[in-house]
Amino acid sequence: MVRGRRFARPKETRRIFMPRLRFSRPYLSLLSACALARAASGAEPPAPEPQPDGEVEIVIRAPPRPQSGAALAPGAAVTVVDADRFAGEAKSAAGLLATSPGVAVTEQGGVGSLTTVSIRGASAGQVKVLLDGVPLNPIAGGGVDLSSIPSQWISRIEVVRGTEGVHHGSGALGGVVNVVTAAPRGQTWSTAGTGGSFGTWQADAQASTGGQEWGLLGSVATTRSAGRFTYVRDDYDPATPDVFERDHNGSSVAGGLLKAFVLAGGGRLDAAAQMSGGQRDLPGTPSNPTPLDWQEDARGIVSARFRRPAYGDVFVTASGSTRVDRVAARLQDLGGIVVRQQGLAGTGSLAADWRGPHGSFEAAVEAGDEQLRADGMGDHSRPTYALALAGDVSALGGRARIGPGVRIERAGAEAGVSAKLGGSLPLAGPVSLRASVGRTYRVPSFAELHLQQGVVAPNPDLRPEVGIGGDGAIVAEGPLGNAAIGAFAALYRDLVVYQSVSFRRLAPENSDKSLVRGVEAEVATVPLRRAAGLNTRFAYTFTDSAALRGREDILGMDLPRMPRHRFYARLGVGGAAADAHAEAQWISRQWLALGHHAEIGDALTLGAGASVRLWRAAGLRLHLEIRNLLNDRTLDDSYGNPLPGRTVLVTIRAGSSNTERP
Amino acid sequence: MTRTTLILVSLLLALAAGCSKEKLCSSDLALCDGHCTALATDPANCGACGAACGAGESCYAGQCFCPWTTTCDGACVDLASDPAHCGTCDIACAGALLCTTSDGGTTSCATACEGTGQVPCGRACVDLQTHRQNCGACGRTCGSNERCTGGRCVADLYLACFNSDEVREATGSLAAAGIPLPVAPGPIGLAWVGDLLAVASAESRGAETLATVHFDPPGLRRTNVLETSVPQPDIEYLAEHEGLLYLAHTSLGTLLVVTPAGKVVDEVRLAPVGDPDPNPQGIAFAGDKAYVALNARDEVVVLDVSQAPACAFGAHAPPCTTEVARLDVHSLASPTANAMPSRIAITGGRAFVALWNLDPVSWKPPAESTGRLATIDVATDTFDTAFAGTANGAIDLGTSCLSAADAAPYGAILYVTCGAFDYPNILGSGIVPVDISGTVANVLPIVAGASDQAPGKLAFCNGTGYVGDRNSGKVFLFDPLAASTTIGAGVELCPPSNGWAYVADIACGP
Repeated sequence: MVRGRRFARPKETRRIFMPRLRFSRPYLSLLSACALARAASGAEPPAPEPQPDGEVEIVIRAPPRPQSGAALAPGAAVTVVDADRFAGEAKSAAGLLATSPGVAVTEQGGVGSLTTVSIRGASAGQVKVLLDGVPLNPIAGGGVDLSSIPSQWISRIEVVRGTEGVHHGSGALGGVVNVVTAAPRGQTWSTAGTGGSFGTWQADAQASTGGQEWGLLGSVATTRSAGRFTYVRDDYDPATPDVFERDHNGSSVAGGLLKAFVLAGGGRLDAAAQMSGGQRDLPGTPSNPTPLDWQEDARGIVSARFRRPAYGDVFVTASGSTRVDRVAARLQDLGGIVVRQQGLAGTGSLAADWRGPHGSFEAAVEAGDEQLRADGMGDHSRPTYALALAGDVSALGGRARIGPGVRIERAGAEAGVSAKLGGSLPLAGPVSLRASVGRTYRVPSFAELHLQQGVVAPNPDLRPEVGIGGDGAIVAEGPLGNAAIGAFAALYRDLVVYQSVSFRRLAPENSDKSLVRGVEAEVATVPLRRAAGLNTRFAYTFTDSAALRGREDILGMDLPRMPRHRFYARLGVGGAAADAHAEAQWISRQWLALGHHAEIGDALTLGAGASVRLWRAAGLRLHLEIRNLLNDRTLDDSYGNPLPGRTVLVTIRAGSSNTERP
Repeated sequence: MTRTTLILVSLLLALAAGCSKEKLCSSDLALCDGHCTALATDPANCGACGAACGAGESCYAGQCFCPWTTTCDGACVDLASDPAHCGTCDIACAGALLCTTSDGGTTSCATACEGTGQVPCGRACVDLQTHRQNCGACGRTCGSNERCTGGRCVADLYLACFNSDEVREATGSLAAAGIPLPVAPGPIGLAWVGDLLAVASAESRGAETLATVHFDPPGLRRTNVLETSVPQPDIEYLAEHEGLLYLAHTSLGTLLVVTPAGKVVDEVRLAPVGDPDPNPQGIAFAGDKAYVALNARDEVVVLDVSQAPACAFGAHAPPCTTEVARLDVHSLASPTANAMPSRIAITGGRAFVALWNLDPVSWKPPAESTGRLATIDVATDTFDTAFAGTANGAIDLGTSCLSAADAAPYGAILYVTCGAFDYPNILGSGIVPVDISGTVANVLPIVAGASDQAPGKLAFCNGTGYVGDRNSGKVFLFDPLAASTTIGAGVELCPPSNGWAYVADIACGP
């Protein structure tokens, strides 16, 4: 018996030809790129005060406290990744998210490639991804492609782990990722250009103006990458070389962002408009390339929020947003035709909140509509309504908090309830204990309910997926940084998976149940604040997952793409004149399918970078970023796609000095 | 602290309540003592978990019965060899005497076994080659509806039940036999190689697995001889030729040549590096040539495999095959359709290739389309346009037969199964006889199928045709000599999963 032998290069996805579970990459890309969403109930925090021009004291900060509603909830498991900390390092969203525990990022290739995120074992489609509070999750189905967000816009990313539906509605079984873009920041400007490996070019420009009572920010960004690289695979054929080329893998993304705030009408009005779009080659899998497939997408978001005091300590907030998505893709699996999807979503909300010395309370009502027009699916729409109540009671000067939250929601014919109870308690000095338990669900997507495309059939009888989970952690926060270690468990049931329902036809079914539990730890310290600028960051996740429903050969086995260990470490030194950093990430072995047959081996990747100030007056700075420092060309993503070798990116950035590093 | 502790305890209790494991069995199996078993045929759990049949009894349809049709004091006995009931219930052989039945049919107590080939099992004289309760070895009892042939417990039919991940046995009259044999997920191909039944499985939940089923004592069992670790496993077909197994290795678009022990002799790339997966499907042989249908390329590739046995013995180094010809069958499809060649039958010097003939977007037959067979002259490896009676070499099966699925010859007639992919209302379902005895193919009237029947795999065993349904777990019995105009109701032998079953392959028993 020959176990575990491979005969040729594996592939991560496949053509939908067979009477069995298959997802082609084009489908995933198409669905992920076609995103509609409800508008956000939350919005970005008030803009920070502009800094005075001139010499800037470089202060290496520990990660800031969270800002979004979900992140501020009592007992929430939150990691805030401050992109400004990585300014100039050409970090993608995947690179930023990899610094958080409990998070698994799949970046299927190099710069600009399809990037999805999962949290605590939930799939990419079960993680709510927000852009400035506006959900990006596609109604059509699938996860959000983070590469569609220009990385230059990212100011910080808030990762809220756990069943988080109270603040952001259905769909957040694993958690929430809130990507926060830059805010208007006085009279500032910046521009940058990047060039690097595999034909990668990036450029962005940003300007901000305003003052105490109003602010305006405009930003444009573009990224292009040829994406062509070589990789090494053992094809088990001694007669041929083992070096292959990843071709037809280019991408380009561009976008514009306009944000403003004004103090008027006794309150504050925040508004934002964002447009982005791009084109991406769809290379297929190494063993099943699709050299003619491609995808184009475009997205536009307009959002506004007005907040003012109403009575005493009671504030009212009115907000609304509209989002439009378009995607077109040429898919070999569908006979080489071009398929199109277009979505439109709008939501309005009205909220009142009260914050007192011993607690807070918030109530919000939302209403909206989702529309989708897609080849193979027809025209569909559904109204959405939600009522959310949340509050907390605090004691010990706010150091002890406990707060319940509940959200009652209807999307089309499906109604559901999300709930959460969380709390925190000081233990000793800077050490505290936090814990939360919650329940939420995900309404079946339009694709799952209605998509008839090729061999994929719909199932209008699907039920929502349900997630129940909780966690607890000991947290320490102090002037030298913060640290947390905790455990979590999540039970997912009625999971939707595509199964064969007739000969060469796939349809979604509520058939799976799984348990994911583990330990998360993170440390972020600034031990030598004013000396060498030493700063460190560590994140570790242990995950134990199990399939709880199925035949004997899979029962209790690890879930696919669920490595037991993930470890991230970063060390930085330096100050205003020059700095340097080094990173390491280790991911243990993982499986590509239930049953432990196809394996992705453990992977250690190292990275490093440095920057030097060239001209203080112009804020001119040169950055060097190196990924995959050891040039390991045998690495695969969690779907079996090859990853690029050593990637070198050089960035030159200029701007008003207070935009260098806050 | 107390409140937080309460939260954590509540969380743990809530999670524990929902975290029980649910083992799933095939829909016609039951979970007994933690194992899935067939209550219909398992003598240890006949009709209900723990309901064991008595000694010598078999289980059929959930009822215990005596295969010898004889009971003595309520016990099921074989009067031909039972020393306690030798010849009749009332005769017990004394002392060390054996109970034996002579070649003439006389049963008696004797000091030695008298029948040809008999050996004593205890004090019962039996022929280990044929005795159901001592098949191949003393005490080795065959399962329900199995027969003992050559010292092996076997059945008339073997079915690859794709959805339930099993190989199942049945009698020639379509009665379930034995106990389902679990195999790797997605069994799709069966092929005899010597005394072993090879089973190819490949489904997304598992690996690509080649197993061999052993029938000799101590009992029916399988051995996985080859497991390939590819991210998206897919094998579409298994065939045997000259003692070697040929697998349509669709996940990587190659043809695997494997020994019965699982040694890979060669891996033949069927499309250039960088081209999309050719989706190899059916494989058939004519002499030293292998014909492989490349479904996604609308091609049939012809390989010279004459060196493969030498490769298997180490007398020849790979590559063990050479490409002889490559035929483009796209022009044989209906307008707007792709030909999508699938299974191949070779008889009378011609290869007949079933064409799905589908619209590549909807995977449905285009309007006004017909069923089609490509006809290839294996001497020249060109389309036999004269025999097909068409300019492109396609035999037109008519509008009542859509999406040819399989073909198998019986005498001078080639039978073609048809059934469109347009589920659940299947059009063009049936079995079309094609008279291939003359110089031009003559398509005969269809044996029509119902709208819920999608005839797929066709095998002739002992003069009877058996057709696997692609739309259910049914097997249809088909008598080629009867003048039937419709396909019968069939018998469900493979259980459904998610409301659907698929009889992926049928192999005749030995």
